[in-house]
Amino acid sequence: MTSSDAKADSQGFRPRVVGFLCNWCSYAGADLAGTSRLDVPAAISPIRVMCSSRVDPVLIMTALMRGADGVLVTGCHPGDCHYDKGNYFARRRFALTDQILTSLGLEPERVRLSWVSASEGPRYAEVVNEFIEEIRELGPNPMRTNRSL
Amino acid sequence: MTATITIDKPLDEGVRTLLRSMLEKGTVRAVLTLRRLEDGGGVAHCLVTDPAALAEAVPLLPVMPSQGGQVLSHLTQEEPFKEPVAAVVRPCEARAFVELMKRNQAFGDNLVLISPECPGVFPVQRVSGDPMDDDIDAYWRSTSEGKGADGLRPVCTGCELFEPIGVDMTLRLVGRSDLDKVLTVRLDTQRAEDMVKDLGLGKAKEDGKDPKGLEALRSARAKGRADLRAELDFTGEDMAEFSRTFGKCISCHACSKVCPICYCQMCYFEARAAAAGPAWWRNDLKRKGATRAPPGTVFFHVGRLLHMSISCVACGMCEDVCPVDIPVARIFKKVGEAAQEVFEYVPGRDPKEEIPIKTFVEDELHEVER
Ligand code: SF4
Ligand code: SF4
Ligand code: FES
Repeated sequence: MTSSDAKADSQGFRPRVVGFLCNWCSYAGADLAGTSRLDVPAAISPIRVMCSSRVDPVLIMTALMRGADGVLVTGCHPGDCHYDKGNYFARRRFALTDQILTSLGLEPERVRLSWVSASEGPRYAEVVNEFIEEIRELGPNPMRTNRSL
Repeated sequence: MTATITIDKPLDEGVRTLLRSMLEKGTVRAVLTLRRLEDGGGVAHCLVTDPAALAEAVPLLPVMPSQGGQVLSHLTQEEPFKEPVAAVVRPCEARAFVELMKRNQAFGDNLVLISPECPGVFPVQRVSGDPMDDDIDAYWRSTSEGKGADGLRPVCTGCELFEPIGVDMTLRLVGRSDLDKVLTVRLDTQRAEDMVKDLGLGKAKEDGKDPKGLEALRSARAKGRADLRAELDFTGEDMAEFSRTFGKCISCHACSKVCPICYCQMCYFEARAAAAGPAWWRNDLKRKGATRAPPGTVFFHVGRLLHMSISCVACGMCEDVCPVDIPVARIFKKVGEAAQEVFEYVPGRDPKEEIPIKTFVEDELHEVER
């Protein structure tokens, strides 16, 4: 098992990113990207949540500690949240997460918050492609291989 | 103008006098204070209604066997006190209590808070260890000179919030040369002034100038805080320092049990959701070929930081109880303060101030949006 993974590594790093997509805007945006046949890499594993404010910082950390190289949180643009204010709370939680990762030396560049509306299929594709490129440059998440966690 | 009274007994004796007369005159129905237990078993927070039981009270003994904010929350989480209760707690205990009120874990009604300018506490092990008498003499000598004593909890040496915030009475201790003769009590609220008026403990005077020693301790603590921050740095490569530090953890979770802010009856990290099932360790093994069993030791600490460090009052309880000497409180203080600074938040400063993640401003934090 391990050897095949190591082999994949030596052949080049393949980033894996977890994406949290809010049901009402960003998930619909991702769907639109799909039906518009835009190129969205398979490296992202989308997880649908009802609202960006559902993303407890601990969910972000769970993904990072259990093998993700990056985590993307998306939601409706400020002012457009289906639940009115969820994304404002999400932004605060994200800022908190960002600061704590920074304090711990845990590479805050591995997490990203972006607003994507239901009509922004192209923006969704662009955000994902751009983020995966950034992660590729950062290289594998050291937490993936750290054996003392 | 703030009023002050002077009680002509020093330290613990002075506070006992104050508490006793409040009980006897019926100003309060009960008091909460540290007290030596009758069987010699130790020192604990006790609720007292019998004035005679105050003979064993040691309100200023420099230890914190449990966090007073947590104790008060346990007493009031179901319903508020129905009659006035006076509690002698340290400033970080009072601040923890305020955080717990904001988190709907406590009621502050009818609670009269009395708090010292806090010179710090010794690690909790000292309560059951060697007699502390010599150290305590030295402790009060340092306090009257405005210096920190030796051997305190490490976080106390970097505590800049040692002067109580939002309490009814402040016991003025730091930098006072008359510490061994009298107790100076500042009355911070109208309620405190009204209560003290009838006690016959002397007339309230206008509060005098701050003693030089108080200023000296303020600077010493600012320096101590900078030293603590410099001493722990996790921002190096590959989280090596961080995993080395928490790698020692035996997952007893004592740190969260004694933490006043960790109030959850069922901690997320002990719940099934976090139980390290086969999906977790199989996946870990696939990637790493070796993993801690069960996995999740360090995850617990990052998770706790993410969940509660915004309200960490840096009391030091967690570090005292850690059996493997991880500097838990120093880490939580440093990481927590960095997070608090993002929102210009000081835990426990003001009961009306919302916890940052329970509120927002529409036009803010654009630097984290991409
Ligand atoms: S008290 Fe120490 S050993 Fe126990 S869980 Fe906390 S850090 Fe780990
Ligand atoms: S994390 Fe430690 S220092 Fe902070 S409030 Fe909890 S027990 Fe006190
Ligand atoms: S529903 Fe989309 S952010 Fe709240």
